[in-house]
Amino acid sequence: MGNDRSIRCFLCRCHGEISRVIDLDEVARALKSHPGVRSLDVRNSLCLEEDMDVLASRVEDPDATGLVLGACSLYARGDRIRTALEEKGISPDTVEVVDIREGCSWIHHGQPREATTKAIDLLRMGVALQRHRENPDEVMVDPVREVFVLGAGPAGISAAASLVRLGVRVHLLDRAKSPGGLLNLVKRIAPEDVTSDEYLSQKQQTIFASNGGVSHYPGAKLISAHGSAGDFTISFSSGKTEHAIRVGAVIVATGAKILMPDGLYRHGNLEGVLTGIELERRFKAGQLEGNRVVFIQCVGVRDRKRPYCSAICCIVSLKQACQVLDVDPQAEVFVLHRDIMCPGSVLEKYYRDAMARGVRFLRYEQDRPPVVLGDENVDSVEVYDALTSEMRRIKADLVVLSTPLAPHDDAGRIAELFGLNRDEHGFYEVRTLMHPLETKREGVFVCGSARWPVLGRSAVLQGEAAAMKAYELISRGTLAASRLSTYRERKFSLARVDHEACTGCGNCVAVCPYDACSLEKKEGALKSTVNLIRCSGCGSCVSVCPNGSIQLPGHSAMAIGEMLKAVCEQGS
Amino acid sequence: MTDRTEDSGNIQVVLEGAGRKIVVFACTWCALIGADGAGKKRISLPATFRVIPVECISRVEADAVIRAFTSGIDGVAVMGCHLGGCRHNGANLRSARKLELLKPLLDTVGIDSRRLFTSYGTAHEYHQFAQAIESFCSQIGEMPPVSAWSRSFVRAMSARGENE
Ligand SMILES: Cc1cc2nc3c(=O)[nH]c(=O)nc-3n(C[C@H](O)[C@H](O)[C@H](O)COP(=O)(O)OP(=O)(O)OC[C@H]3O[C@@H](n4cnc5c(N)ncnc54)[C@H](O)[C@@H]3O)c2cc1C
Ligand code: SF4
Ligand code: SF4
Ligand code: SF4
Repeated sequence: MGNDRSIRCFLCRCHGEISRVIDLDEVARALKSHPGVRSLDVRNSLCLEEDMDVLASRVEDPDATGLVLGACSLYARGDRIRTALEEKGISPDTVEVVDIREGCSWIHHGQPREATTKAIDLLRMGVALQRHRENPDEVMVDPVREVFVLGAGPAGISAAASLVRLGVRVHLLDRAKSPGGLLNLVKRIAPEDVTSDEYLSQKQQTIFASNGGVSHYPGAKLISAHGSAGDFTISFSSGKTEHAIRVGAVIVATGAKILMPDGLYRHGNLEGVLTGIELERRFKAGQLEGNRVVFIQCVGVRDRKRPYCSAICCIVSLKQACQVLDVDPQAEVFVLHRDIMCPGSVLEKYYRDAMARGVRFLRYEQDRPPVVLGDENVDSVEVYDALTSEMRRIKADLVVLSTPLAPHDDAGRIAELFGLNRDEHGFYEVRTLMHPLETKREGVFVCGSARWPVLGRSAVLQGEAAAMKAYELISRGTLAASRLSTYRERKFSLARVDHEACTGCGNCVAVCPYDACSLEKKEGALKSTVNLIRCSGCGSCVSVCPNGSIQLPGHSAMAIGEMLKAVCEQGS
Repeated sequence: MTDRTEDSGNIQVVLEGAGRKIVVFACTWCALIGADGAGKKRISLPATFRVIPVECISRVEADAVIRAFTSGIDGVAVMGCHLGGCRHNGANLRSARKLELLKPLLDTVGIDSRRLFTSYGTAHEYHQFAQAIESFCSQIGEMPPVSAWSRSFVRAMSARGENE
């Protein structure tokens, strides 16, 4: 540590945006005498090509190992300057851009003296950081150009079809015997109004006509998964054989399970009380008996135990209500609901059509749910109509319970195998904000109902999007670990362990949010080891290590200490 | 606290606090964006604070906060994302717990715990950042500098820790 670097400083006037407030001559004087600063130039606009060329040529000097630029914020041009310099062969690890515009001249325009003092501090801090920055450890990764897709529902099939068309070899595994997922159980699919065979046939053709581009393992069982982005090893059994494959990325498209009502509304005890999927089965078999049908929405969901909306069941019931009328136009159909959820330009039409065709909608209250009456068969449903404040009794032959999609029973195990988080309801969690397919584990993507209940078309869309994400990761050839990310350009500073100082206490292992730290035996003692591919440089480990033995080389405790000292150097 | 309605009083405070130095550890995924936004809007802010960008506030160990005070800094702000909205899979939650634990410890060594300001997701937008910085800077400006006794006491204690 503390390796002395010769820093070249460049200050940017930004055509007056900086120099109008900050006295750059004074800053230059203060910095020139600063230890470690080799030279200092003031330029008009560091972000423009001509200044950039000057900058690049000046650092060809082999003794000038670091560059500190006083310019604008990282989000303005700062990061772009770094990238542009990288194209000229200057490693971003050697460039510190200090924000003296957004962070100084623009917010202290009324206080030029204070702004100048602050700019000096900020630049000294930059110099301190750059002097104490060590080159990060890197490993190069050549991603395996094959992808593992778990689940052959609409999401998984779509992902596989997109990838195989890009020339990527895909391993498609499903525990079910035939592809298609839940849609196999559905007679006609809304809103496309086709059968599941028609729905997925084109994509399946792509897959199965790909001449070995897709290895499909139906009826298979996942055993284990190891590794990290670019190189995972997955083992599973298919029939009597066990397979172990290596892939660069993983797409989890396991969908969700249909929640069974578990005795609710006398399901299982009373003839004529069905779930939505049981009704689909009757449609498929052409055995619809009775023409007085009552749908009950939100069964076992949007309550305290499952406080989410499953998003598909309203539209499924609207579709089914109309299908009942298709079979018998004289049928009497009621939908008992709490709210009807059919957003968007396409789905709302189902609601309007159902109303126009005579389906009657009745709102019930969560704490006064409908009651199903009957001795052996369904006779009627009693419900408190929330809009008219009246009890109603509706004669019925069939009661259809709209149950939600819920996480699979083995979701915990799958999450553990692939290093995924689960949200409060048990679905696989994705990264926050702008990264809707990426998970905590780099290189593992989730799509379809595994992530959140969706209709077929959204599952397809997400499957295709996940394919693009996986492709992004595996198609760029050999990459440094710090670049092996699909949600950001570059990770700064991956953690490094000083094995002499590490006592193997395991604190870092316990806190690492990416499972990047692990304890391994090194010369007889347990030592922390960092998986550079998983590490994202968050620094959690650094702040809990009792021995200071794990550090971010680009942002070490030493560097921060020196920066703090730099703040106090003048005027105290 | 300063009465915000008294403008002249406010400026007074800022000037009085001019000698103080405040360090802000700002997460690059949120507070730093707030800081950038405040800059773009050219909001006038007290010039006593210096930002140190960090990848995540989970990087800010107790030691860094203590070292700031022993180095001569009078106020430390740690500004990260919402608890639950951390880009690093909830890492900031643990960090928040540690920092909250640190506060009473600071009091016991003679450093008023109000000198450590923590913000989780409340400085993401430019006006939030500006407001938070302004009130923290004026609060520190109203307080005297950290006493020389406290600084050397903590320095001595941590030096002893290092030697043992
Ligand atoms: C009654 C009902 C009617 C519906 N009607 C419609 C409709 O009309 N229109 C519409 O768009 N949508 C409809 N849906 C929704 C539709 O089924 C889903 O949108 C769609 O199936 C989601 O696709 P998916 O690929 O995400 O998941 P799924 O279809 O659930 O596929 C997941 C696949 O992963 C496999 N799998 C799961 N776990 C594992 C594991 N551990 N190992 C190996 N394989 C595993 C499963 O076997 C399955 O094949 C309906 C749903 C229901 C319940
Ligand atoms: S989609 Fe409709 S039935 Fe399903 S949970 Fe949401 S509101 Fe209830
Ligand atoms: S920096 Fe963060 S991701 Fe990397 S090893 Fe440390 S705790 Fe894990
Ligand atoms: S916290 Fe530090 S000492 Fe403990 S295992 Fe990790 S690196 Fe080693």
